[in-house]
Amino acid sequence: MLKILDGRGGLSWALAPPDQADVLIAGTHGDDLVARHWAKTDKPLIAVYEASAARPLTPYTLHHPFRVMQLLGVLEDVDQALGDTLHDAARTPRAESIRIGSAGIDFAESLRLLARSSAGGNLHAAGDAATRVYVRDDLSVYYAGAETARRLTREALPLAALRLTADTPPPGFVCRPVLELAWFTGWHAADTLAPWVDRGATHRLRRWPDFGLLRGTRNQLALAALLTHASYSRARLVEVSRQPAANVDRFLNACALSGVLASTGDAARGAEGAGAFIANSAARFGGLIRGLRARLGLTT
Amino acid sequence: MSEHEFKIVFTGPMGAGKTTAIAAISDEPPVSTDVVNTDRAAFDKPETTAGLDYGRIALDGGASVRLYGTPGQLRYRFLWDILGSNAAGVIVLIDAAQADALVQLDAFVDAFGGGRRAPIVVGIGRSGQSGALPLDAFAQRLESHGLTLPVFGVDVRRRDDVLLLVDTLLCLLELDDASRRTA
Repeated sequence: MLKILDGRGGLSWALAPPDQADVLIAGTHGDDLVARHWAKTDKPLIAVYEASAARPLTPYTLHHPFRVMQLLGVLEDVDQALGDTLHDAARTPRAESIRIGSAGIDFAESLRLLARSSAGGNLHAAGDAATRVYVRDDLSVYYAGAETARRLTREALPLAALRLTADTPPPGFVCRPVLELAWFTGWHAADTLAPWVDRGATHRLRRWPDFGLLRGTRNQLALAALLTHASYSRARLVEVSRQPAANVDRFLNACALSGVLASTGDAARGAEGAGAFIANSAARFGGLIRGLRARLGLTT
Repeated sequence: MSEHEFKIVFTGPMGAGKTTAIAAISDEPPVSTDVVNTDRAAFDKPETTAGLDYGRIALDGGASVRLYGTPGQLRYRFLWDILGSNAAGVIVLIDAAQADALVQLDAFVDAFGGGRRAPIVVGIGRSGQSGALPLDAFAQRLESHGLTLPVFGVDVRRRDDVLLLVDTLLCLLELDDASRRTA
């Protein structure tokens, strides 16, 4: 496989033991010690998952069985991210306004680390009796009381970091897709970039979040449309979308925690797209779009 | 297509909910050309759309949005091309519980240009049901073809879900995407 890759990327790929490797390709099942150690690093993980499993909430995934071209595509993305990191050691630091240590951020960070770990069939839990949340470590579903599940879509709950538990969810807890938990945890985490989003990078969406589940707002739909067509730095995205910076930051936080955001390159080095998009109704069908929205009650 | 109207096409296999989706947002009940379903092995419902569904949303100033639903069966493929011509956007509806749902997704997305001629939004019905394919399988299928299209789990019997698909289509239309127009 590595011979096929030879000469195709900006980096040369070679097999290496995990402690010397830059990238780990691992299955998402089995309580793998290597994967557990890897989860604590910031190095890229390519998570391989089976058809019956939920997609891991990590940016780099491969659906098994996969074609060589699909592996090449993922490696190209990793290649770009790694190449820029290695090329520019003095990279812009991540957001400094938020520190790990506040409850909501700790919970989000623990969820992010869980997404980078292999599943052992265990449950992790956070919160007190009133806000208890259980998360399956394969990140397929979470369990919470109905009111807690409703609240976390509307506000940041004061949840500490997830911890392994032998408890089971009480009867009456609802079972929901973990994407919902990840999305709203990211969305409510902060109104500036969270620590898990690279402030100096350009961003694009690897796929659309399921807004059928998440009930995406107009602003979120517009940002997703932009980011699936080109890469943007945070600053350029604010400019092009004409949305408040806090909105853009929340969106990037949510996308990153949901594993749909790919952040590569260094915006300062001009890695972002040409930005040939105009996010207003005057672009192509002008007043027809505004008129249709008004008729259907699709206000912002 | 006049500057005072545009066309949204709803497509997908038989039983995916095209007529229901159009009815949810059309000013008046859609004009349908339903006939007795002679292919109940493919989908067990008494009638199916043989020609097209047609709905309309009138806008201020005499402008309008035309909503077309294609027939779902492959043998009416020639009508997909006719209805897709000059479409501003396409909404593909797929029933995740149908056995060949992924093949259907390929067929309908490909028939309407894979999002290169006009934006495409994909609505997947019944993806949460026992035995149905998960939503991710559809997104993954498109990604394997190099396509990053919006793929949402929806129930088109709910008007809000149909509005979500339409609003997403409008967001994509608002992108002045030079590459799409030159494709």
